[in-house]
Formats: sequence, C-alpha cells, structure tokens
Amino acid sequence: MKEERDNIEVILKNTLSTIPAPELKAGFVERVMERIRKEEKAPVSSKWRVLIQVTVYWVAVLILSLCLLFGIEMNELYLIIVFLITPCLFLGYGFFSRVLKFRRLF
Amino acid sequence: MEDEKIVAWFLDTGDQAAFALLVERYQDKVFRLACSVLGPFSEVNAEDVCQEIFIKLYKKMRLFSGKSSFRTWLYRLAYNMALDWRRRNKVRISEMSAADREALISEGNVDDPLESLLNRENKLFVARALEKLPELYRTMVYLHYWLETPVEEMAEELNLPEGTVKSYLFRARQYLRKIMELELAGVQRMAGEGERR
Repeated sequence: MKEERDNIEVILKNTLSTIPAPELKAGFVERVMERIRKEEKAPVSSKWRVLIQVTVYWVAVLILSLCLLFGIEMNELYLIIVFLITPCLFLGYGFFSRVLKFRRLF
Repeated sequence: MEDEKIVAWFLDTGDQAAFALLVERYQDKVFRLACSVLGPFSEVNAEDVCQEIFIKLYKKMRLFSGKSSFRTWLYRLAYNMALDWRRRNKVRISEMSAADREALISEGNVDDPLESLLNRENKLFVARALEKLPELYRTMVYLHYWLETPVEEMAEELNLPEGTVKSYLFRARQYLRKIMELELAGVQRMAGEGERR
C-alpha cells in the first residue's frame, strides 16, 4: 500500500512539477478597485437592465398577440397556433436576451 | 488588524481603502484556489474569476454573518465561484493550446529520444486522467502536488479538518490509479484488436 502511494505520488509530482506555478500579475488590487468604481458609476445596474429587457419583450409579445387577434379569424387553427406558440414565448425571452448580449445592443 | 475588524470598518463606513486592504491580504490565496479549480494554464481566466470573486465580495459583504471566520467565508465563496466558472466553460485538458501542451510535456535533459517521447506521452496521459477526477479531488490534487500547498493550509482553504484532507488525498490517489488502469486497459484492448486485424 505504501509503495503504491509512493508510486502515484511520484507520478503526480513528476507530471505537475514541470508546470510553472501561476503568479498574479502586479497591480491586481488596483484593477479590482477600478472595476468596482466603474460598476458603481454605471448608469443602469444589471437588475434594472433585466427588468427593462423583460418589459420590452413582453410588451412586444402583447402587441404581436393583439395584432394577431384582430388580424386573423378565430377558428380551430388559430387556437392550435396559440397553443403551439405559447411555450415558445416563455423560452423566447432567453433567446431574446442572448441576442441582445451577442449584438451588445443592451 | 483582524479581518473581522476590517470588515466592520468597511460595512460601517463603506471606505474602499478597507476593502482594498482585504483584497491585498487575500489576493494570492484566492488566486491559487481559483487556479487549483480551473487547472493548469488557466492563469488568465483565473485572474478574471478572481476579480469577479472580489467584486461579488464587495457587493455581498453585508451577508457575512460572522458565524464562521471571514477567511473561511471568503474561501467558500471563491471555491464555489471558480467551480461555477469551470462548469460553465467546460475546461478540458484536450482544449489546451499547443504552447500549454508543450509546457506540460517539456522535459529536462533527456538524451534518449525514445525515453523523452515516452515521458511526454505519460505526462499527457496523467494530465488527462487528472481531469477525470471528481471536482473536489482534482482541486485537492492540484493544490497539493502542483501548487505545493501544505495540508494545514488546504484544510483552512477548503474548510475541512486536516484528517479529512489527508483521507481525501488518499482517495484521490486511489481514484486516479483506477482511472489510469481503466484507460490503460482500454489502450491495450484497442492495440490487441489492431494486431488481430
């Protein structure tokens, strides 16, 4: 058992000792404090940002639904479409916020 | 000055100098902990994670209840955040850059090319096996064998008793041995099938 432990230890030491130990670059404290100052100065906090995104999304969905309601005749097909689209609307918010992030629009 | 006093000073006054003092005091340890979670050659990412940890600490300092020591609380926060980052970004040894791979398998003065080649392959093999260890075991192995952190310090950083750290290290080594045996068995089986064909 002891020998086995030593073998694995030697293997680990041999493998990992060649990897240089990481070192933090100088000025880390200043960089952190700078980021904190920037975040404090930011006009819109992340909570507000999410709230605005959610509001914009659901207002758009509401307008679209109203347009559909007045534009399409109510029949079975309409109901099926509504049933199919509704879950997509909930999932759609995730996609919407990702697109915004990707395009750096908001 | 004690950590708890600095925390109280920061919470009472919101003085950024107090917070900077805490960052100064713990930057290296938090960075090493992040490195041990993210694995070798992740220094740049580890620094980003480290910055995120301290920014979160700045925002959530009011949640520090004083039930545990500040240091323990900070290490727990750091460990969890680094782990979250690793899970989100799926760090793998196979995704290492060519330069990192070269650094990993670099060998001292080995004159025999065959021996050198075998050493390089062995190192990559062990590095891949290490990546298959469960998260806590892998972190412990990196902390102890790569960053050469003593057991007492590991116990403090991971908020575990020293005996538990030793026993986890032992289990990690056993686990690693099993992984390597399975991998070797797989390689030998494949080689055997190749010969039959």
